[in-house]
Amino acid sequence: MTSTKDFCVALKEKGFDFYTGVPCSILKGVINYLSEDLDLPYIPATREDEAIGIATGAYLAGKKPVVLMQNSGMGNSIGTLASLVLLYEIPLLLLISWRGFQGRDAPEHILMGKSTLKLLVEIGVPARVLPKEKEKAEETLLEAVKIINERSLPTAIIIRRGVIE
Amino acid sequence: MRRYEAIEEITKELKGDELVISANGKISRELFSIRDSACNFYMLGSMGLASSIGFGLSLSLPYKRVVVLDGDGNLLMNLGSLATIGHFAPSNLLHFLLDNEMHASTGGQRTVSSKVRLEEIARAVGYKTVKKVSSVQELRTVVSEILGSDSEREGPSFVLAKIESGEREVPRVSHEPQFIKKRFLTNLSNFTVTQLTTPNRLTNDRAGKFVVLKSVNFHPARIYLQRLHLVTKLD
Repeated sequence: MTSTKDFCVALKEKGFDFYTGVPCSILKGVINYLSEDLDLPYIPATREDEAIGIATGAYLAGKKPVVLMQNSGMGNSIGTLASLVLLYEIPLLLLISWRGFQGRDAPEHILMGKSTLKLLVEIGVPARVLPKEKEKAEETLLEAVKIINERSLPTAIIIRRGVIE
Repeated sequence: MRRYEAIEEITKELKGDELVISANGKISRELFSIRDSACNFYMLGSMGLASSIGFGLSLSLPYKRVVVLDGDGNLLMNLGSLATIGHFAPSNLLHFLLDNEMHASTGGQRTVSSKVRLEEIARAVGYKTVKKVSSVQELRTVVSEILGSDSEREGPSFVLAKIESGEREVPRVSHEPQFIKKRFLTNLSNFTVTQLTTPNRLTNDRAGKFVVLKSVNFHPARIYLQRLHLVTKLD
């Protein structure tokens, strides 16, 4: 398990300096932490695709943005990922919570829970699940940063309940 | 007033260093045909997001003027964006809505903007300057008022221009998407403070070349955003 603070500090240390998104209970701690942070902005968007648009604008201004969302909201964003983020190669870090993991969740999350990783892989967004062990989680973040810095591609980190507390 | 004339009128008043985000479809195509520039970011897909991209840009570069050329179909698809912009109210954002009450790029299917007063929504969410125009002459007056001066006028501004139907044959944007992005980023990394449209926001010690892409730690946007952030928290 990674602590919320350690995770957010690691993001900042990697140079991520612009945060936007739509909340999820799994990401509650991270979003609340970022919202309290006076150094960097967290911009609450009304929809996930809007958040991606805002983050793209920030990237065009020289920022290194992160977009936070629930996997259901990733469903709202597939078109935007395809026709904006992947088309122009906008290297956003997407932190996506995984509701419906292993089919154990409220009914509205089951189908998207089953399809989250497959959808990302299908459209060509590199995605990895954040491991529970702190050291491994750090490695995963480093791998994502490498893709963003070196290949200028968007990258998703999938976050299950309880992995960041 | 046709859309082509409106875009011509707006671009005529640009000093040249404003950042322009154009909505996908005919708006991007016409802008490309009227005035191609490294300052233009042509949206090709992701319908609805022109104002969101412009908003993210304007928040991060508070000393640059950002112009969004939006359409009614686009804006109606992402009305929440108006609320977000109104809340954060970046004063350097100028949002044009070219409203022909239809989806012209897909064959003229009607939108609902003939009865919905989008300018009232802009006013209600907190845009500081809101204008509605329906002739080239009116647009010229408003554009030169807002864009022409070194603007004491407080933004964000919203200008709704009613557009008649009628299309001009224009080519598609012939640049590759990645070229559009790279050219835009390279251009921004080279601009100097002398080109700024709102120099009053900068202190004297920030004179000299300002390299956006490499100066993360000394970014005026950071200070600005901190202030915005505090405002949000107090709300």
